[in-house]
Amino acid sequence: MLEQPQIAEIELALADVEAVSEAAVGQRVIRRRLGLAFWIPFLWLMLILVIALFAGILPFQDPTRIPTSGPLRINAMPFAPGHLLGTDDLGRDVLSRLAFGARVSLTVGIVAVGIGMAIGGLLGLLAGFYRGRVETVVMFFVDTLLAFPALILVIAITVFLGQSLRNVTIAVAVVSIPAFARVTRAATLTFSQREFVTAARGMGATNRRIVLREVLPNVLLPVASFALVVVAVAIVAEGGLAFLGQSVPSPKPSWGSMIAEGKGVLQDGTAPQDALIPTIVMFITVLSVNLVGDRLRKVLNVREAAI
Amino acid sequence: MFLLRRLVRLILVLIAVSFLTFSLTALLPGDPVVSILPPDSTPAQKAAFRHDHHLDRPFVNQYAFWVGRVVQGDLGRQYGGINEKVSDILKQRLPVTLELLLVAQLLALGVAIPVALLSSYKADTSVDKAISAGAFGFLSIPDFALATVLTFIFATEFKLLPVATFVHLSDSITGNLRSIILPASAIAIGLGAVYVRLLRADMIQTLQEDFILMARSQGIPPRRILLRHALRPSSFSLLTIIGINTGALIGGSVIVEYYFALPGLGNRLFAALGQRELLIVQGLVLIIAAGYVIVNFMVDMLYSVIDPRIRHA
Repeated sequence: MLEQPQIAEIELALADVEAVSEAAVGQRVIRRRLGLAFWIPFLWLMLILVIALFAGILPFQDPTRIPTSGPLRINAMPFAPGHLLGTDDLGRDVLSRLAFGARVSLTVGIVAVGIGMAIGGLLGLLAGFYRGRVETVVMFFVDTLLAFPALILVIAITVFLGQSLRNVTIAVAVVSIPAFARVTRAATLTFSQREFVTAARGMGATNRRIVLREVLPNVLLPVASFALVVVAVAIVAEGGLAFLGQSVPSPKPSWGSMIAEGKGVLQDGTAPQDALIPTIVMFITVLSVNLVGDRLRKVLNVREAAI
Repeated sequence: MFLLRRLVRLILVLIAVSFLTFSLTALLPGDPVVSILPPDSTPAQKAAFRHDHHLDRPFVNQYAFWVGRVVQGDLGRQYGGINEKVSDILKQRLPVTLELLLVAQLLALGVAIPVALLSSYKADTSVDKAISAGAFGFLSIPDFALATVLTFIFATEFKLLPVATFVHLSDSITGNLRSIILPASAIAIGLGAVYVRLLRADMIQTLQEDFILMARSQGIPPRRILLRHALRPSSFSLLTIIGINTGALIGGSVIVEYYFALPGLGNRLFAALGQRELLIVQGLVLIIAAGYVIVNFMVDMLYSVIDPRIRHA
């Protein structure tokens, strides 16, 4: 019997997971059905990833350098000579700030979600497979963690442990654990009742072997497709944290802090591009993650999980 | 039986939440005595203060002492400096946050329900596809980005609305609404997009049911079918999500409150974190977490009222 702590989440996740049992059929047609709505955002994400990885090697200017000699150009419009996307209110190159800011967004998006998925996934797997007392304890822990206001918890962690990329990543990872635990548990519950698990047990397989060889490979697919939703949420969370001035400390660039720094000249109307350019880049990136995830779930026949 | 089991669980989670809140703030670096007492106080004064506030007792006793006070309605206060009581902060600021949430939810639902009905009625047409794509786009705009863009459009460019000047409801009703509409929209647009997607999906399923076919064959007009026959059975998951969102937003509206300088709970909590006012953080986090747990509990109950099968599951 299922407890009903958060029916919608569980129910939607369950619906996803049940649909995924058909995923093996879906996989065969991935290539045919992905379409432009997948490939264009996918290419954008690859571009951002390459730029973030090689920002130090590529010929970008120093993102923190404030020009001291020559004519000082502040708030230059895009396509200004020497600055493809213009300069900010201190004369720093916007393009290179975006490139180095992408590192922060992607690190949090990928590493934090990876950690959250590993820990939350393990908890959910144990809870869903062993049921009983293990499940009670795990779900109690998850419910408690979920009751904390997530953003406040993240801010508290960075305020007290110090603002650094590492601490921001840890903070976002912590608050993503409950969601992964829930989804993984729901998936595990369904697959644990399938015939191949009964068959494996009948052949004398140990619990450990059943979890690792029978359940885990099946659970991985729906959980991974859910993870893309969390990546988008994590990127937005880091942006919000930076917007509040609580992510990586300035002058290090982050998309959120670029928007925050540009909001003054946006509000008085003198240089709206300072805030609008990072806003657009962030929007396209988050939209791309969502589109890629949505497309994959559709092709794999997974229904949308609301979080 | 069902109710009782849920109630016991609710209380257990509340206890766990309060313990975690207390230990998080108590274990964080920094000696509360140093920040509370004047810097020139003697060791004897410090020791006396510790004794008076039970800070020299074991950790579990400190927790029990704190909970005992909370249960009696004393959420604590920040000593030194402004000497603010947590309960006073709640009294002043909770109404602002709740108003923000209420207006945001009304805006989101007011737009989302008709749009979702239209979208499901015209499923798979170009109208439906445009709506779905739009919802997907709005879903991907972070609230702080929305806040900046909305301010730019409505306050800077067209000078229609004020920014960062909150007017209390008791001072002026129109002034209050004018000051809350931008922040509420910044929250509502994302919420509305979620609601459209959710309700559309459920409506499309309901519209395939036999009783809808029956209603159609009786010649009942589409508007009536959508509103009277299909909407109610399609709104269960919507209801749940509304509940969850309301609970989550009590502490989740920090960014919007901060940007628009609203005197709400989230804004005060953010300031308290920055100032390391641990006692205020403890009190407010406990209230927000309790609010979240209780709202979810009520949603669970509502759900089982609507759908009796859950009670007997």
